[in-house]
Amino acid sequence: MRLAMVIDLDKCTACQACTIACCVENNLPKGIERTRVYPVGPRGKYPNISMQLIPIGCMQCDNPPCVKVCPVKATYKREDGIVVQDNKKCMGCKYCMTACPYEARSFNKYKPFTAEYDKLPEFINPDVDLRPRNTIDKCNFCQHRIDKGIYEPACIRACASNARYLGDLNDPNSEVNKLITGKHARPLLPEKNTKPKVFYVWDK
Amino acid sequence: MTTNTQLKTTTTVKSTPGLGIGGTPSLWFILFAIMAAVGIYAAGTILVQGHSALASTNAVPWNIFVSAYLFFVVIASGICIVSSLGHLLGLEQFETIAWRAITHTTDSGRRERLRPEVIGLRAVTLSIIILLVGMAGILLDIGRPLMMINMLLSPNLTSPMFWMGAAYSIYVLFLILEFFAIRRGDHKAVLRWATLSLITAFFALGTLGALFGMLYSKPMWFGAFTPIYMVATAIVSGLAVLSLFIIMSYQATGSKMPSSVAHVVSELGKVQIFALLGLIFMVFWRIISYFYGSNPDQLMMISGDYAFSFWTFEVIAGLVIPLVILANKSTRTQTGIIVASALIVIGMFAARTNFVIGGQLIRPFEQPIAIYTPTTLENMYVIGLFGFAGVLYMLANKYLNFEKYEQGYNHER
Amino acid sequence: MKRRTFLKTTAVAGAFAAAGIGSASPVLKNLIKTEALAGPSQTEEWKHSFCTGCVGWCPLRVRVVNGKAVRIEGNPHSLVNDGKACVRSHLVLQQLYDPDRIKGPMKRTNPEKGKGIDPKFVPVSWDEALDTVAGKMKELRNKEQAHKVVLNRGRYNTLDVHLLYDKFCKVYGTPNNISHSAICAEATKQGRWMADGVFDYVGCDYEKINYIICFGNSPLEAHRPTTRLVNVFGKIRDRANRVKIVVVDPRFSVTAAKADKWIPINPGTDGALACAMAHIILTEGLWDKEFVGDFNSTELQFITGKTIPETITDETGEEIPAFTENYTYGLLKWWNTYLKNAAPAWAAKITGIPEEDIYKLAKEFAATRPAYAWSGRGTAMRPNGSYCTNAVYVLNGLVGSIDTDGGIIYPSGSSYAPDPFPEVMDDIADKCRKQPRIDYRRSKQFPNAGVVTGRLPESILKEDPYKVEMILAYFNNFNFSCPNTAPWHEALKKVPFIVHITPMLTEFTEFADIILPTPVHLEKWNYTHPVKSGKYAETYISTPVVERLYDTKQTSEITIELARRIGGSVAESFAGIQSLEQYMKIRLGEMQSWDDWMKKGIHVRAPYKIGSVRAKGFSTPTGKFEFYSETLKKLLSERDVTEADLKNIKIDATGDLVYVPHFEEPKYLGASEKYPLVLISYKAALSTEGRSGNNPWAQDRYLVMYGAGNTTFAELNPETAAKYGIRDGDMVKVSSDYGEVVCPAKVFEGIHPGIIAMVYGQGHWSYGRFARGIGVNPNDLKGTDYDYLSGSTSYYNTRVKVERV
Ligand SMILES: Nc1nc2c(c(=O)[nH]1)N[C@H]1C(S)=C(S)[C@@H](COP(=O)(O)OP(=O)(O)OC[C@H]3O[C@@H](n4cnc5c(=O)[nH]c(N)nc54)[C@H](O)[C@@H]3O)O[C@H]1N2
Ligand SMILES: Nc1nc2c(c(=O)[nH]1)N[C@H]1C(S)=C(S)[C@@H](COP(=O)(O)OP(=O)(O)OC[C@H]3O[C@@H](n4cnc5c(=O)[nH]c(N)nc54)[C@H](O)[C@@H]3O)O[C@H]1N2
Ligand code: SF4
Ligand code: SF4
Ligand code: SF4
Ligand code: SF4
Ligand code: SF4
Ligand SMILES: [Mo]
Repeated sequence: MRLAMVIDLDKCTACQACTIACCVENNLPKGIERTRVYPVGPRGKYPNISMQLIPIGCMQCDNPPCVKVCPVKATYKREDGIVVQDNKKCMGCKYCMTACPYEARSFNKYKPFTAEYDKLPEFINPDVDLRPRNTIDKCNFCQHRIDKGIYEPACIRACASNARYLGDLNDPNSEVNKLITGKHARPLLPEKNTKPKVFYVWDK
Repeated sequence: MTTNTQLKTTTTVKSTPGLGIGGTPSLWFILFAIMAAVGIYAAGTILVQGHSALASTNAVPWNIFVSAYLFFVVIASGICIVSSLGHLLGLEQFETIAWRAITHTTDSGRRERLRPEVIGLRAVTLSIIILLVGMAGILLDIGRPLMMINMLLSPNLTSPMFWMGAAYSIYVLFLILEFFAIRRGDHKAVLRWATLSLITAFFALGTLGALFGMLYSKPMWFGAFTPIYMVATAIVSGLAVLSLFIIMSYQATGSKMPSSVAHVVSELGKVQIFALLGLIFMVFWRIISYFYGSNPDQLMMISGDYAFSFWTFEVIAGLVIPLVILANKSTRTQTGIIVASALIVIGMFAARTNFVIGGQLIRPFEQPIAIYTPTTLENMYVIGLFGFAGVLYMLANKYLNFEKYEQGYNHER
Repeated sequence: MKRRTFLKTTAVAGAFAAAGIGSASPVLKNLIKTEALAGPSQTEEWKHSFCTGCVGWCPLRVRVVNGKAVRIEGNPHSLVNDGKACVRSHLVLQQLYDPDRIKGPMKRTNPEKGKGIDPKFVPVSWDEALDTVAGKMKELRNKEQAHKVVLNRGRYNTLDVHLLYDKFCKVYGTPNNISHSAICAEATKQGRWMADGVFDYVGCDYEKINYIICFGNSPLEAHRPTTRLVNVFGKIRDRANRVKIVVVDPRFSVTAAKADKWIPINPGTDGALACAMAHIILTEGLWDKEFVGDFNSTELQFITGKTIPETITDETGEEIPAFTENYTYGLLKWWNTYLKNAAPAWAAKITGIPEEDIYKLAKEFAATRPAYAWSGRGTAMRPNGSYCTNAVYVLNGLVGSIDTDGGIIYPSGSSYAPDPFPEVMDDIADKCRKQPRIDYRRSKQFPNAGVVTGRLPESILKEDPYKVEMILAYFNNFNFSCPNTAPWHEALKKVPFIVHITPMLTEFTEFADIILPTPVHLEKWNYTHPVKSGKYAETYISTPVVERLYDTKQTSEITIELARRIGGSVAESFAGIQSLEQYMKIRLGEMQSWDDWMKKGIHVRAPYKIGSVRAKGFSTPTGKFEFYSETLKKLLSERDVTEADLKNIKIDATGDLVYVPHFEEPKYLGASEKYPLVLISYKAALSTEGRSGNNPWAQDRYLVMYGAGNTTFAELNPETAAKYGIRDGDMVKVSSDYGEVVCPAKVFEGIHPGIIAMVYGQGHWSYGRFARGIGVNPNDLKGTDYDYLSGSTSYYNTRVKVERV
């Protein structure tokens, strides 16, 4: 299995539900986003302008530079293709961050939630570790859900316009493969040659 | 064999007004101690507050501690290379700071047999100190320094950082062994450790270059050029720092500089001309490539937010003016060398910041260039690093008594 | 507290302790491992509630683990929402567990009131708080001054409307139950009502639409109900015949970014654009013959500037109508009184949109059916916004998008069982109820207003028609959410006794004498139905998903308590209600069994049958879809409104023009010489009306277009910015006749050069730690004005100037 995601930008409403649902599900403290909507543009001059709003997170690269550079193997690619982060090992050198061409990694500067609350808030999801301070956070396709057999990450569940899809690249009939062929979904910055496994359907 | 006439007449500080920095060593010591205290305060605060005290962001994860680290460890490697280089290249006049015994013509025309460590002890000690200071710099940029233990438990052989860590650890080990060998006067051991440390210095510089050069996410860092550039800057900054420390130590204590040392300093100044020319060659073509490429990060250097730092500090103060001073015989005095070397060091510090910070500011997906301005604490810690270097060096100078060591060898015979 | 001990026993707490959380002594935190396992779940349940974020009231499934709500999802049984919930639904968690919530009832100890004056609230017992309020209300009632008690409400839910807003007010005897509706979007209802007689939001069979034009709304950011709209957007973009979307807005909204075309328009001129489009649809012969009808002669056609005779003679010499309308009424009257001259060239000058673009838009709209001309607050909430909206709405009639697949539909609402406990009216109640309402709704000034929220400060300050002695308010924050905040502060200062039912200390609460804290979404018994928006009429229930965190009472519980303490007929009216649960069982019982309610949390009614209104006739005096509004005519004559009265309420039209869709010149507050720019505010997708400011999840990414949060920008076109020497990021002062604010400038190509755009929702000077002091409130700059017909407050007609500071 090679898990991949497709984000259909023609359906995406830039609502940021993915971002926030991910924060909720994964106990992300303030300042950390695993998927974030990037405004790209505007191109052109008033009144003829265009703009794209693109949710971007870890691309789960098949050829991940972050994994190559991590001195302690605190980030690695799983068999199902997910690039995961092992914060029991991570020393917080941030090398992987500088290596990632997609700005997909965040550094957890604060003790979880202390930057915003007096005490730990009560909406903590007990299925997921608190993010250890001074380590790295990144999208892991909600590995804790996948491991339980729930192939629906929080962001996909939350996406009200159903613009996000998860599927198996090795399965020619998977929805993601259909979108890749049928709707010409393609990765961002393919020239970086990291072989990303998140694909985007562009509008029109 | 040439002898430098200018230097002959200025071997004592007493006869040189210098830069007015020929005060008592204790004044310098107090200054460095204050800086170090500032640094310790900053370090303590950062350790207690954690990385929230740093200005680094997810877009700019590495802060000035990384550029300071780069600055210091390259100098440390440079000192080692420079002090060995002469020998390797067969430049005899250089060997005073090297590890092998040579003979030398003194002012009186007498050929003396010099003990190899003349200023070798100084160079090795300096290299160790600066390396440790650099490591102190990076330590506070590591989120969980204790977890560095995983470099041993779970090493990743494809990581340049792993190799860099390994190389510098071994390097510092060799330097320490060399240090003790010099102290013992065990020439054979000195030879062995010095050869090994020279090799590791090059290797370490390579891994340091690779640390940045292997990241295709960062166009300004990426490329095989980066390790070469590291070596070039190592030689230039090594030369500068070594000259600076030697001359200023003598000036500060007011003791007479042995002619052999004076001679070496003068030669260092001359070698620096060629080193600078080499580096300028590299930087020149890099600038040209910036003009051609005109990528946002390149424009940022040549005409954008970093242009001032780049042109004023990195290029003009750090390369051009020192070259003019050193190339001109009338200005290549001790004072001239001090000024040129100081400018080079300042320029190099700017270059490191431009490289490490500037290199990260460019963002993907057409996002506006990132912003990083160090916090007061970060600045304080970097000041502290210089303080640490100064204090440690002066303590070493006092307790290891480099001058006596150098003079002793000169006159004992 | 039980909750606390519970926490202690969980693995969660243990792990946090291990991580050093809460330890006060500074340790070398950077050097220690801060990992903490959250620990295994002990109990896990999914419970039903609904979101009170907006009029969507979307049904939610809440994941409750170890007694804590930890995750929000849409209720999968909902057909309206397709099992989804919009982005703001997640904020519910941060609202529930907001650290700044009010923990118990409080009373004011500082008699001095005003913005920035510390009220010096001190905790009191519920008994003391309720006795004080009930005592005051009883005293006023005994003096036959029940009408001097004003009830305010903002966002609502049906349970509280049933018990407090309607029943309590009635039996207590105040006619002054003043909701936020008139600052919300009543003019959108009014504009629509003028055509089809329905005073409500528009429901639409979005799933089958092929072409959408958004006039003054940004459905991907706001509008209602957001969940359904974003969900349906995904569906209709994904169809083989992908929907085409055009956005008409002076601001390049998120919807504009995601649309196929953005047409910036001069503010307030949507009516002219719509009329020109109607003109083109008629002159090009593109109207829907089935819905509208056709000429009775092939020789007749709509030609610019030419009047069409109402009747013609056929071959037999008999007088026949020139045009036979099917489901509509007054097309030729409209054409002859107005539309014939509403040519695109005329509209181009007014709207600033090139003539060719208007042509293209009209033709595409009429050709790509079913097409929907959709409008929102941008067109409506301004002087004569009713007419603007009406002009846009009737376009749907012209192209036949009425009561048809992919068109506007007429779904029914929920069917609550009647309240079995009778309203007992005593003399006082009867007498006081007959007193004039302080907001002058349904007067000559506001002929069709259901409520005139914006009138409150004037009425209070001028004691017109009488002095307001007390305000009882819930779920509202009017001195923040209404334009012209300064007079609001003054008015609230003047009211002798204010009670605020609220979970948070807000700007309104700052003027309160008693605070009655209320639980939020997930802690309540509740029921409601969402705004009509599609075929399905659903009703939702909320059960207390988690134990109440603090010493709070629901608005309805407070109502019952107050009634009991006031006594007499008021108490009698509520005597039968033993608990909210019991009351809910009664009112919801007819729809489905209580078990089903508990199992599903939702009741779905059989879908609306499209075409049934066409079949049975529209609820207008003519029974038709009116291009000539007999509906309005009837109303104005009922209210005795003369042409002179119309002048007074800023309507320029006279004669028949009053009753047909037409363009009215925009009316501004402030002289254009002094204030060259028009202020436009808008909603961010993450603004839960004025209530998400204290939710970091929303704050940190409030302005998705700029990748920014925790701020308000003065958004300017580059040309405008250059004119005033402003660069991106400069701090600027924006000022009007009504106030001034200072905030950073954002220079953006997507802003009409004649406007300043500002997001709404920031600039709290009260509220919680994350909201207070962040950004600015555009309402500080706006003056008070109305769409008088509907009593709606104007939001977009204040002129401002901008300068660098
Ligand atoms: N500039 C500008 N202003 C606007 C708008 C705009 O687009 N631009 N939009 C307007 C519109 S459409 C509307 S509808 C109004 C809304 O305006 P309001 O009806 O005044 O609503 P809010 O400002 O959201 O304030 C609601 C208050 O209710 C309280 N509250 C919060 N949660 C709860 C709860 O769970 N229960 C109870 N009982 N109370 C609670 C808090 O005190 C909160 O401040 O704002 C209007 N104001
Ligand atoms: N995210 C979010 N969604 C909400 C709410 C919320 O608070 N937040 N509240 C709900 C409520 S209570 C309501 S009433 C609805 C309101 O939803 P809408 O009716 O859609 O109204 P607004 O969101 O206020 O949008 C006003 C739009 O009109 C534009 N505009 C201003 N002036 C003009 C003009 O002259 N011409 C044109 N063509 N456009 C103009 C503004 O730029 C803005 O995009 O949203 C509901 N949904
Ligand atoms: S939740 Fe879906 S629609 Fe919203 S921003 Fe994310 S991908 Fe786009
Ligand atoms: S996107 Fe970045 S973090 Fe994710 S796998 Fe690729 S390189 Fe690693
Ligand atoms: S920060 Fe952690 S994951 Fe990233 S490279 Fe360093 S040790 Fe590896
Ligand atoms: S897949 Fe999971 S971790 Fe990744 S962005 Fe979505 S919710 Fe976050
Ligand atoms: S649409 Fe409104 S009610 Fe529904 S989830 Fe969003 S904010 Fe809540
Ligand atoms: Mo509203």
